[in-house]
Amino acid sequence: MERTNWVRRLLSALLVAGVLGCAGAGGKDDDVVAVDADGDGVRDDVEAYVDAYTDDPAARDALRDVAGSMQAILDLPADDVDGVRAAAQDANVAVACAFHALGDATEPVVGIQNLTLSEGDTLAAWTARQAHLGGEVYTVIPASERATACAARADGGAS
Amino acid sequence: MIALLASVAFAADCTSSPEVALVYGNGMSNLLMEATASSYALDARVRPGLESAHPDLRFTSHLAFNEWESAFPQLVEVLRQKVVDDVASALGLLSGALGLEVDAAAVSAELGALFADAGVVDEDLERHVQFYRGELMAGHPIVLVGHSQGNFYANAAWDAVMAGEEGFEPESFALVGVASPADRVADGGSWITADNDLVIAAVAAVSPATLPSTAANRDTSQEDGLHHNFVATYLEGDVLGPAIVAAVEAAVDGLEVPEATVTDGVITLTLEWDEQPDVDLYVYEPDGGAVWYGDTAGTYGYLDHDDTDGFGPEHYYVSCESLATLGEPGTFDIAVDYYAGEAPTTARLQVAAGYTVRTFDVALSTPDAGANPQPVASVVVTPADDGSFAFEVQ
Repeated sequence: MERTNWVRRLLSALLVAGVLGCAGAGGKDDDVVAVDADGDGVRDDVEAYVDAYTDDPAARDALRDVAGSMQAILDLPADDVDGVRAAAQDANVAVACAFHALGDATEPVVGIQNLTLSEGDTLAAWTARQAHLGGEVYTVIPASERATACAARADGGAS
Repeated sequence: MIALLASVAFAADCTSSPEVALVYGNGMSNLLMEATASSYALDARVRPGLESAHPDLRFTSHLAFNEWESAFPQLVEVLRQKVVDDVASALGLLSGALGLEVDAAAVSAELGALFADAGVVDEDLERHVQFYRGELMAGHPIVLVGHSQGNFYANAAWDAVMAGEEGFEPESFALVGVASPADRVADGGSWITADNDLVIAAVAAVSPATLPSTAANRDTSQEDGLHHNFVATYLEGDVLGPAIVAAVEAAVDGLEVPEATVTDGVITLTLEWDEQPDVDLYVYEPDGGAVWYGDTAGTYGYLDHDDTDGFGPEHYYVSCESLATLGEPGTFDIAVDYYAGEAPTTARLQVAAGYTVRTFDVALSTPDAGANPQPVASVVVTPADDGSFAFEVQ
């Protein structure tokens, strides 16, 4: 059996079985709809998750910023390669600031990611954009530099 | 549209200490945000000990992001969603997904063939290789920690870097494998795989050459269901976490600092291209001056590596000292010229400014001998009162 035929059979079987959700199969790439009642760029359910995760105002702001950086990627056209790559670099800074605010922000960052992408259409939209990021390199902002970087960000470095 | 504006402290990038690049290469099922968080978690876990043990070295951590386009991630997704209990049931699911009778030999042969190429995307690999090559040329040895299928990328990158004409020493680029489905660590380095990692156990069942497991956590209460997650099972594990830290420390201890062939800087540009003979880098500095092969010294930066007969690289850098003379915001505009060649080609420009690394792909159609350099990117530098700079790569 040729490899390509085997892979095609496998993927088809998985899609038919429904085990892959809608990832990569969605046709509604430009129609990523989410409820954001207060219009602050962060989905209401994600905002509720953040509020439940921590009472600390600075940490909440940092986590909302992480969510906003994800939404910024989703809001870009799927074929905007340079835009997605620039926005992903911005998301790296947002994650750095979450670690600055919380010490270890792995759990809430992953929680925000999973909640944001919990719907099939959103996951498909994310996957389409993330396809431009293979091969990219992101620099971990050192802990000693995060106060400066995050202060600059809070002052309007990212808009 | 979010504009990138990451601040970098002046002092941090102006030390003369040798720098070590610590790189995390994610596996599949790590979407960008989780992979990014994992790279910060790894940095937090290993950097304090390294800085304490090596006060003469400077460490910079990175994420080399792997995006998977093979069927392998979907296979593991089957395992995850079905919440398998053991390898036998995992193999049964895989066989079912294949639409085949449960024939261990057939499944083994098919999956083994798939694991052999493992979905490494050449274009993505080339971008990582360009980054690694640039680090080594700047005199920065590398420790690359690969997780899961990130080990395939790590092995392929190591092979590609060592096969290059630069003649890098293997001791300057060390690998540490974590939860590796591969059958080797390319540099002969160490690996850590949990005894109860169901993903790797499933791979090993169909691909017997897979690196064997090495240890298990005593406390498994915080592990993920597949015992495969980089942070939950490995980095935070009471046994596996210290094992990773020890492996990274041992890798750093064994590193040799490569001889620098280009000069490091707070802004660096590295240009590589495909098969055509000559592509040139142009930088138009904030004072309007141009830096190119005909005038390699600018007010702020230098073109210290000009290649005219190979695939590059060309390299430009701006030192902290010269950037300190920039009294107000300024822009470095970057262009690429297809000087000579026989056919359309592609160039890759890697821009490193502060804590930002961006790669731009440049399609070049017709050689013009320097008549019309093609604009590619810009770096906007904004000095702050405290001596730091903000960099925006556009």
